[in-house]
Amino acid sequence: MRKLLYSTAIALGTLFLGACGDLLDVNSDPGRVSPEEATLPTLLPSAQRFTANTQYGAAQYGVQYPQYLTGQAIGQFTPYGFDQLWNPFYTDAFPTLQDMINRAGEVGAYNYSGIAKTLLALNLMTVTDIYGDAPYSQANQGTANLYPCYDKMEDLYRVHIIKLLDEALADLARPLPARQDLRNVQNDLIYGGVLTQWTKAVRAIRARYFLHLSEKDPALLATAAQEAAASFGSIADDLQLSFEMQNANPWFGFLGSPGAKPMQPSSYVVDLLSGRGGRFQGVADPRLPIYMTRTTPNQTTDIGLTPGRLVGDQPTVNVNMTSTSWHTRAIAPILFITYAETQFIIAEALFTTNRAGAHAAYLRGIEASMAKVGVPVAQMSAYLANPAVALTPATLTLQDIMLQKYLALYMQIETWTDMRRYQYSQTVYPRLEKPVINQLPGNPWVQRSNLADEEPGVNTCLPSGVTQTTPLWLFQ
Amino acid sequence: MTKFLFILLLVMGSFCSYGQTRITGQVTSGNSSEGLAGVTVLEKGNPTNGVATGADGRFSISVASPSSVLVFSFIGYETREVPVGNQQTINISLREDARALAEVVVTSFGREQESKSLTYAVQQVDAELIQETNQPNALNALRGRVAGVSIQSAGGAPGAGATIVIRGINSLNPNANNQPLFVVDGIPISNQTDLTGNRSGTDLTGGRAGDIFTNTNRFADINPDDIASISVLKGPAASALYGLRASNGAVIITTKSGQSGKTTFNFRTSASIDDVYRTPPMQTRYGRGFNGIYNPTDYRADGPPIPAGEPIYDQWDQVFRTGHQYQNNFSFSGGTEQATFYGSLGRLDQTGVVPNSDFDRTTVKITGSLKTSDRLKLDGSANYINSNGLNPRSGVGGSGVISYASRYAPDVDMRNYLNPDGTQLRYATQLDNPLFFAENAYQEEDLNRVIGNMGLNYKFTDWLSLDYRAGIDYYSNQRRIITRPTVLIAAGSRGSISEQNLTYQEINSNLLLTGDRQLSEDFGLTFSVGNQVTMINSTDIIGSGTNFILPDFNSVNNLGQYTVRSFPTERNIIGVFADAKLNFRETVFLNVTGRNDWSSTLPENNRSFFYPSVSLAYIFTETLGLSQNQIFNYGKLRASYAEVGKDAAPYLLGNYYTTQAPFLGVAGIRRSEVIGSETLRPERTKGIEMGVELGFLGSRLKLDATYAIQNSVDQIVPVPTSRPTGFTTFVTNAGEIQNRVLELILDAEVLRSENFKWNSIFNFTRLRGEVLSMPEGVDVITFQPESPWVKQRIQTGGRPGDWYGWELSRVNSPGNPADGRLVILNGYPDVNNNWKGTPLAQDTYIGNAFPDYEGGWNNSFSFKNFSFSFLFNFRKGGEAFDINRRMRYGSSGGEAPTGAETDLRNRLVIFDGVTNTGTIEAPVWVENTTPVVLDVATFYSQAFRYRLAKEFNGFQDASVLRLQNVSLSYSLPKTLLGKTPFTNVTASVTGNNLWMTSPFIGFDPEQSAYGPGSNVFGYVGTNIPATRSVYFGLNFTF
Repeated sequence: MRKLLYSTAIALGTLFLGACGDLLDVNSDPGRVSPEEATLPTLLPSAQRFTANTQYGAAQYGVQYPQYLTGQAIGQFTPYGFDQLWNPFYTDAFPTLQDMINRAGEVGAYNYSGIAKTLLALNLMTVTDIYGDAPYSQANQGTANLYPCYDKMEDLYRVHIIKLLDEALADLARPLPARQDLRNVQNDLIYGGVLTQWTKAVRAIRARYFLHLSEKDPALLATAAQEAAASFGSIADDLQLSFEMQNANPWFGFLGSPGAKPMQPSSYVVDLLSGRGGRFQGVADPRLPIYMTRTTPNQTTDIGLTPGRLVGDQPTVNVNMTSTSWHTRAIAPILFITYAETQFIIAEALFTTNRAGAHAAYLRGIEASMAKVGVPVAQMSAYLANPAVALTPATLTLQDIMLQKYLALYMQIETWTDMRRYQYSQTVYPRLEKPVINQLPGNPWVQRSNLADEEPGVNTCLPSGVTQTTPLWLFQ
Repeated sequence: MTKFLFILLLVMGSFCSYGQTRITGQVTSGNSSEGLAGVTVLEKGNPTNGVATGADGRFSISVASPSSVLVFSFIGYETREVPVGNQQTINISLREDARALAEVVVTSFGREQESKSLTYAVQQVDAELIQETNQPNALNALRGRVAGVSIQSAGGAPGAGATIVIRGINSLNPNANNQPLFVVDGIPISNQTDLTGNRSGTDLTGGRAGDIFTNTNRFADINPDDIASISVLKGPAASALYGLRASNGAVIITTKSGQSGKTTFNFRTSASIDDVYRTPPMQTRYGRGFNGIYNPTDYRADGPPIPAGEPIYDQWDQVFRTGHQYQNNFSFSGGTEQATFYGSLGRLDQTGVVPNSDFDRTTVKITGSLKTSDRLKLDGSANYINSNGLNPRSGVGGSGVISYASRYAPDVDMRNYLNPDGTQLRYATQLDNPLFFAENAYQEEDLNRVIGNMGLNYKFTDWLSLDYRAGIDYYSNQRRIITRPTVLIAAGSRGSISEQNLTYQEINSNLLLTGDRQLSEDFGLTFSVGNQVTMINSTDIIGSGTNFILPDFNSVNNLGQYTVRSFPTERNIIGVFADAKLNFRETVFLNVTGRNDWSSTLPENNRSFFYPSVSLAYIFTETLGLSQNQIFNYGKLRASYAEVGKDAAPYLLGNYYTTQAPFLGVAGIRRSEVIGSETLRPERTKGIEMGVELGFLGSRLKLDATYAIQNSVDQIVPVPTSRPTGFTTFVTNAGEIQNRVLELILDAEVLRSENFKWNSIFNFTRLRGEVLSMPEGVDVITFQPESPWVKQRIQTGGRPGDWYGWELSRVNSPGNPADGRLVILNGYPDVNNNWKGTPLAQDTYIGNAFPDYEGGWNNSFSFKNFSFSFLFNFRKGGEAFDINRRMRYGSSGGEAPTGAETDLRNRLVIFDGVTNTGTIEAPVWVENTTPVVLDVATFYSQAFRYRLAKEFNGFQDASVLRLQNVSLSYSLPKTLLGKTPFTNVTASVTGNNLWMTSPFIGFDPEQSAYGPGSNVFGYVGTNIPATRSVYFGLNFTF
């Protein structure tokens, strides 16, 4: 018996001592990828999808500010920190894009870095247009800087975004990388790895950039027009991410499904499309039944929800975003920047210097918008032929350009930047009214996002005195 | 080893017997002739000379002279001293000490210890108390019985889990698991609650999303009928020897085992009637429609008043039905002097109170022990559990049976929910019928579990023994969550299914060398050294997807879009420990422990950590010679200091990339949002505990008071980071929480006569948590699942569970006649001093989720063959947020309110308050005269006007007094049973949760919406409500 015990003890002892090291060295997750195993072709599709989430997130509730949709408390200007933009940009899109830029730089894969810089510039511009100051140069450093300070909007515009856009152009023009496996861009969900398309996209984003910055430097309008002209040639070039039935467009899940409708089209956009707005009087826009669905088929008038009213407040409202509305279909694309927008950029930029060029671009913009959403050619021609729309270089006004841009960019957050560039001018946006219930003290227009809700309490380097009523640097 | 033993021998001194007089004899128990095994027989004055009686109670001892006195002592029996004289045979019987019996408790490693020698707080609950409640989840049976322990059930759904928290929340992380370690017969088992749904890779999300299926805590797999006793080790001193997994305390379960003698059989059966008896009051005035217009196809309660004579359907009567539990348990036990056995077969069948809910559990257990010699004893047990559950979706969020039902107008007959073609009859596009939903959005699960252990005990000498025990706990849990495309939440996804296969395997190996010596007349020493190895592996494979191909085919094979994810984990812990207990004249007890653990989940440099404990008890009544005093016979003081370390969850260090679901045919990867410190250190819980135990009137009245201060430092916390860092979460050591707890137990034997006994036990707990420090740079951790309603905030100086929200604005201007009155703005009450421009972001402290104090009062009576007991439990203070009440007010824009509080509508009112006619700086208060209309559109559905204020939004006092358990049983007299094979037949009626009183309006203020896997308390009202259950039972022993 004693022998048995001793041998058991020795066996157990050997087992434990010998196994100790092995037992304890097991803390590497077999279910996840190590940083060394990550590659550029696997990061790219994530970065593109995250960019779509960022662009969608900016618009998800933000579309109430340009009065495309309304019906939530945010439409009454209750405090809103655009979390749906902040989170996907800073947690998903920015780290992934920056990761790609860093990795591509190490191996000379400028094709990948060109794409990543293009998308980062686009997203960063969206972020600064909404928040003004935002973390960039101190951001994305992980535990090395847990409290990133905010870069000034002016610096983001004048230093960082343009640097990304310049480098993107340059990178896309560089020779392809030496490494065979990196020569062709793989898993590019947007342009299938065709770099010339990406170059056009950079030009389009640059056009938007210079148009914005012309607020501070009007001479840049010409640059904006040049860049726009050098960008997309048709709607086939649009920078967008398409969705599939199995992975539906996020708008579909949010508004398209038959469940609760948190928002409905606003009376402003419905009136404009119905020919009841401040312009295009009496012209029924063929995009209306494509953009939204009337819930009462036996009625003939479409009625939107008055901005500032909550969903359900107004029983007469009879339009909704549904699974068949163009933007909220399951397979609808998320539009980043379109050919139509570049044409309206040209129209606006040339308006004072080249009225004929502006008029031509105005018509191309409308046509592109209608073609994009599938308006039948006959209806499109009829609409364009209507004198209230067709106009002439002499009768064209800035109001026409901006309202048609407004309709073309339905559901895109870029329109809010347009409105703030003109400070909600009644001349540019006739009959645009503040929400009937305005929760901002003093009934002003909303000018910017609040600080992101999650930031106070976790970041010690926050800008002070942020209110949603102060115009951002760009719009001052 | 040899060397060690040698040194030990030197220390102990030599012990030789001179063999002058040999005494033999037998010790028996009470009046029976059965021998009593394990009785210590000691020569008085010569503590090195002692033996223990054998299995038959026989002993043999040599004593120095006829003047020697033998001391016979045994736990649970009165000690007897017998002068040897000229006797060579001493046969004595020991009398059972009825009061002392309860004072033996099971502590670390399953060792029985007399409570008088305990140096820290332990409370034991015995089998009868657990079994008489008929609770299928034994954890619920402990509710209200143990001081310092808070148990909350996740609801009345069949198989619903329960949460146990000992001495408060000690983590800053709202998602952390605060559960104690569960140990069955010396081997830890899992009490994990595996939450439903996808995980973010690391298990940091815990219960944050709410547990929509109130999944069970795995301790509930143990058949309550197999349990002999449960001890709760509350503080770190008590649990230091179990190591890091017991840092939240330990629950020590001893299961039944066989006794030598006649084989006995026991059959117990019971059937219950379960119902929901406390439901929120609903308005019955306004019927279906919207904006006052009747609409027969609407479900919303905003139509015109219901005409007299129209039928009214109570929402809750339609959803809830009567549930039943059928429990059958058969067990047998017996044995010889060499071998004992126990076996049981248990079966539970339960149908729930909502449609499409049921649960069944089958348990099989066998236990046996074998003495191969006087030195070697082997034992082993195996327990197999199979359970199957089915539950409809409920829980936090708007989509669940309860929340749907709460939104229906009272004139809608919900039971009429199918069209002739079998599709759902919907009253509007925006809400599913709860009964239809229950049948089409549910989880079914199947669990198979094996718990087994084997042990050997080898006695080197009568004072030195080796104990080795190894055990395995393995379960495999298959879950299928079905959401058919016919329900609205699946309309976007066209139906979804998630099939989850969880396995958990834990292997424990315990080696323990124990010595027990009387060193001298005055000093006794018990010491042990041991080694413990724990290996935990789990897998979690989830196949989930969307897009049903066929409408009714319930399999992941029916999905057009699916992903498979796997979350394997491995965690190993090695510990060595030593424990020394020194006693001085059985009067002063000193206990010192030390343990070193090595954990695989920490960085190599920090994975080894040591923690000590020291505790002292002093029975001052011994010194004062009071032990025979008629009035005050027992007094003990206790004090201890202890630390327990705690490791991290697996794979928290550094950063990983994760693969993404395929999109457009391409799958990408991304960097994880969580980054873990590469220099993570173990957490520590440090506790000071002081206690006093007093016994009066021959210990018929006992008071046990404990005050403990526990600090949890260096917590491993997922610190929320500024997202611009590129991460959402940084896992690091940070923050400190202190819990101060006062526990009182008053135990009185009120009456003790031949035929009538009355025992009364009262326990009371007052707990205060405080956040002493927060992670650097983090001012506040906010938990806010229901924007923009009340939120819980953890911040320095606050307590865990602090609620923040908005109050109605009141004039604060002492001396002014308007002082304290409501501020009215545009005719409506103002919130959060918004009239002054105070933004909503600056909300205020409005209360705490945890009670000021809580406790229980149990009384048991026995009169001849009847026994009767009742248990009240109570909590005073603490606020709960009733998520359901918020829904009853109309959950969002366009919803109509249904709660009884909203009966008052469509009329002009003038709110009783004052309005400001001056400026903000110099207000002038005048009586409000503005009439406003109370209606759905402008009042009930408007957050600012009605629902934001804590007075209206569902935030309520959660104080409650509850009749938790009443039990009446009758045993047939022995005379009647004489001619039958039965030795005992008992009939019983038991009621659980029979009655409660509370200012809370709603279901149950103590029923957490978050499952046992989370740290969030105070959110209630979304799960299937706890039921009132009445059981009828019969018990046969033969």
